[in-house]
Amino acid sequence: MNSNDTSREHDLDKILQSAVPVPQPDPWLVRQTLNRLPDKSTRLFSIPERIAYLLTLILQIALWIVLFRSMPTGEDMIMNIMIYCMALSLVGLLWMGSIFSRALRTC
Amino acid sequence: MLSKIEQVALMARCAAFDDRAAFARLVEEYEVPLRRFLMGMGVDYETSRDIVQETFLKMWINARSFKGLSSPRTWVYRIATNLVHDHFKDRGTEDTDLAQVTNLVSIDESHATESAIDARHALSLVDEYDRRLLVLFHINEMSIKDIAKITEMQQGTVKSRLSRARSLIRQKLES
Repeated sequence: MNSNDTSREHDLDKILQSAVPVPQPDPWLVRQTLNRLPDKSTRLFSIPERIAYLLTLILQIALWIVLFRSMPTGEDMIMNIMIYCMALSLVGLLWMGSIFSRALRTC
Repeated sequence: MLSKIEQVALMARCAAFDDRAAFARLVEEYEVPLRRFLMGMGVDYETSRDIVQETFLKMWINARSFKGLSSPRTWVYRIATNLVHDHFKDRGTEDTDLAQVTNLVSIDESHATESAIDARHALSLVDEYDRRLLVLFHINEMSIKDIAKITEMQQGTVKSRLSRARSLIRQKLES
C-alpha cells in the first residue's frame, strides 16, 4: 500500500467517523440491561452426576445388605471379612465426601 | 478502556461465578462502541438500544460457552452482527434500503456537516455485508484479524471485500 492509498484511507476514516459520531454513554441503558439479566440455574449437580450418585448409593446399600446377610458371627469372623467391611465403608465415605466437599465449595 | 487480559478475566468471572459486577463492567465497556456500530449499520436509535440489550443478554446466558479463543470484544460484536442481520432480514430488503437512509440521516442532523450527511447517504447505499466491514474497520477501528473473526471470513477475503467496499463508497461520495 503506497502513501497515496494510506492518505485516501485516512480521509475515508475521517469522513465515516464524522458521519457516525460517538454516542454518549447511556447509564440508564446499562442499568436496564443489568436488571434484565436472568438468574442462572444454581443447580448443584448436573443430571449425569445425579444419576451416578444415585446408582452408587443403590449399589452401596445393596452391598451392605449382602455383606450383613452373609456375615458370620463370633469366632467365625475372619480377617478377610473385616477388610471387606472396611473397604466398603471407605468407598462410602469417599463418595459422600465428594458430594459434601462440592456442596461446601459452592456455598 | 480495559485491556484484552482484563476483559478475558472479567468474562471468566462471569462464566465461573455468575459475577454480575464483572458483567456490569463489560457492559459499560462495550455499550458505546456497540451502539456506534449499530448506528453505522443504519439501525434506528430505539432498535439499537433493543439490539444492544439483546446482545448483552445473549452474552450473559452463554458466558459459559465462551472458550477464550477470541477476545470477549470480538465475541460480543459477532453476537451483535448476527442480531443486526436477523433484524434486517425480518424487516425485508426493500423496506430496509429506504429506512436505512432515513435512520442514518436522522442521527444528529443539526450538528452534521454536509460531508457527514453525504457520507451517511453513501454508507446507507452500500450492501449490508460491505457496510459491516466499512463500519467495523473505519468507524469502530477494528483490525482485519478481528473483523475476520467477527464475520467468520478469511483475512484475505476481508481485505479484498473491504477494498471493494471502499472503492464503492468513494464512487458514491464523488457522485
